[in-house]
Amino acid sequence: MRKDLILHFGALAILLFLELLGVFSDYHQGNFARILVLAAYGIGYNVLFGYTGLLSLGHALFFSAGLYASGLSIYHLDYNVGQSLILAICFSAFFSLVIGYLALRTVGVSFMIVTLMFSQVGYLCILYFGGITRGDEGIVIQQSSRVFLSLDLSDPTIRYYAALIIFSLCLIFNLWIAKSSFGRVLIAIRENSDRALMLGYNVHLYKLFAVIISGTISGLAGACYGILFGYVGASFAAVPYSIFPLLWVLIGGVGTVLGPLVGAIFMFYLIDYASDITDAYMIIVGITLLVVTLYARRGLLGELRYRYFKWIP
Amino acid sequence: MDTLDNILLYTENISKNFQGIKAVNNVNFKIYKNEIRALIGPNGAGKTTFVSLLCGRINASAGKVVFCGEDISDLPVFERISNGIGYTFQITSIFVNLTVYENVALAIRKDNSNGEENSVSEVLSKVGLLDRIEQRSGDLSYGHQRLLELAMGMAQKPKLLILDEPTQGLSDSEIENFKKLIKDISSSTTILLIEHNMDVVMSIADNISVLHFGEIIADGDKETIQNDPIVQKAYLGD
Ligand SMILES: Nc1ncnc2c1ncn2[C@@H]1O[C@H](COP(=O)(O)OP(=O)(O)O)[C@@H](O)[C@H]1O
Ligand SMILES: [Mg+2]
Repeated sequence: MRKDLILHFGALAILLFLELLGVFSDYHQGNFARILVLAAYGIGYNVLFGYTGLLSLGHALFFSAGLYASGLSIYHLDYNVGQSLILAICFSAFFSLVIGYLALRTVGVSFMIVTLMFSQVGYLCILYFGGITRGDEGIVIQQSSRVFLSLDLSDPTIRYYAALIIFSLCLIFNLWIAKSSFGRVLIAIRENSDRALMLGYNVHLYKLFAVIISGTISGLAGACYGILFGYVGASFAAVPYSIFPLLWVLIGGVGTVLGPLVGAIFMFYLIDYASDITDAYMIIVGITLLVVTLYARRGLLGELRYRYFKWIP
Repeated sequence: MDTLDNILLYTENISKNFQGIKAVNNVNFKIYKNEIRALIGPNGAGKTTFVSLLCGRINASAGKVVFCGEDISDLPVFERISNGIGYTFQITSIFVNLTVYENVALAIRKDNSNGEENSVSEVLSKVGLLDRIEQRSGDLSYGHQRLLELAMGMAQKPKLLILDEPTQGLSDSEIENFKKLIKDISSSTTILLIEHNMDVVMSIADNISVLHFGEIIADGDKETIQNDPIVQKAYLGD
């Protein structure tokens, strides 16, 4: 069997067996369910940043687009989970197409700023239309609405499996992209977009596809986050939720399929432990991030790939 | 001789200004099918700019480009290239973090019936890089990187291959190898070769065009150009 398949399906198997064998305490089970959905978000982010080389500072816009599409449709329109997920996926895809079309008129630093601005507009819209979104306070999705195929998604064990399924789908999709000729063109654009253009690739269109894929995965992750944890709030559309996926990817490994998971686990528990020690936990987090970025510039997995395992996709 | 059938590409009054500098000025140029055309001229004459106008890397200020009978002046660069214009960079431009294999596979673009792996191996064995197929291309020597750049041009299987100073910075033995390769490629592809090394030009080109301050000052076969008094004054330096 191929090494890359063993690595990735092995990682998924470990996540499955941790649950099956009852290794998790309730606390860690809940954490990991969150981490898995957030890592799916990180995968979406990585498609654009890690593979295509486009740094967005506004991905919270896509995460919250999915979050609110599903949350509001459940809350106001009585959609069931399946319907709301389909709506969220379609809405995120369309939304990414529009935002991508506009934002890709810029490159480099302007692209970062434009995406940041768009996401701020999104955030302010959520606050402004408080009558529908209930603004800062947000919406709690009742347990009775969080049922899929008669499974209660608020049950911690079912929730963990659901999160694992979502994460696995995103991971497999990412792995497929990384191995496909489409993904190779994205990487070529990241490495040397001038050359990719001069080889006859429609670089602009490829970038637009990358934004759509990235935004749709992020939106799907947002929708699942709202449904699994029962809360939809404006804080998910704010700047920190644009910066988190960037940090997960930077720490875990830029342009690696498993990087976002590694980064999300690392960050989650780093914040968790640091806040046990001191109220000023962001100092510890900051210093640790500094050390990681100084000594593993490519992120943990990225560094391993660079030094030892060239085959990691 | 000048029937539309045997002209591969021509330009009409094509020009490019950079902030007032006329880098290319009203050039009318033709290249015939299956020839090796050398484009010579002193540094800064506008050679790179001129070929960039042909492949669309730079937009023309005025004029038009016709390729295979079709006006391509308004086509974006990627379409001109998929239509059959290949371009290799004067300054080596490869994907340094990707393997030699991936570089060539990217140049092939669409998989033909042959299968990607076979096509890559075929091109690499022609330029003699087959044994380095799995190497990171940034780790290749300069000479090998130039060969890879050429291999990527070949892999595109263009109708017109533009080579911008391919032998720049190579050793004499490497240049000999390049001459053979270019001759080889020319059996199936028209070649527009920008070249400083007059020995290379004289030994492989069929015809020569001379560019000077953005204008074509002479056009013709080797003997004509060598004996042209204007060219001698402007470029060959007697
Ligand atoms: N992007 C650019 N912006 C401004 N001036 C340029 C640019 N590219 C080339 N030039 C100028 O155009 C002229 C022709 O340059 P170039 O085409 O590179 O010449 P050659 O390839 O014959 O050495 C030079 O004077 C150069 O300085
Ligand atoms: Mg030049």
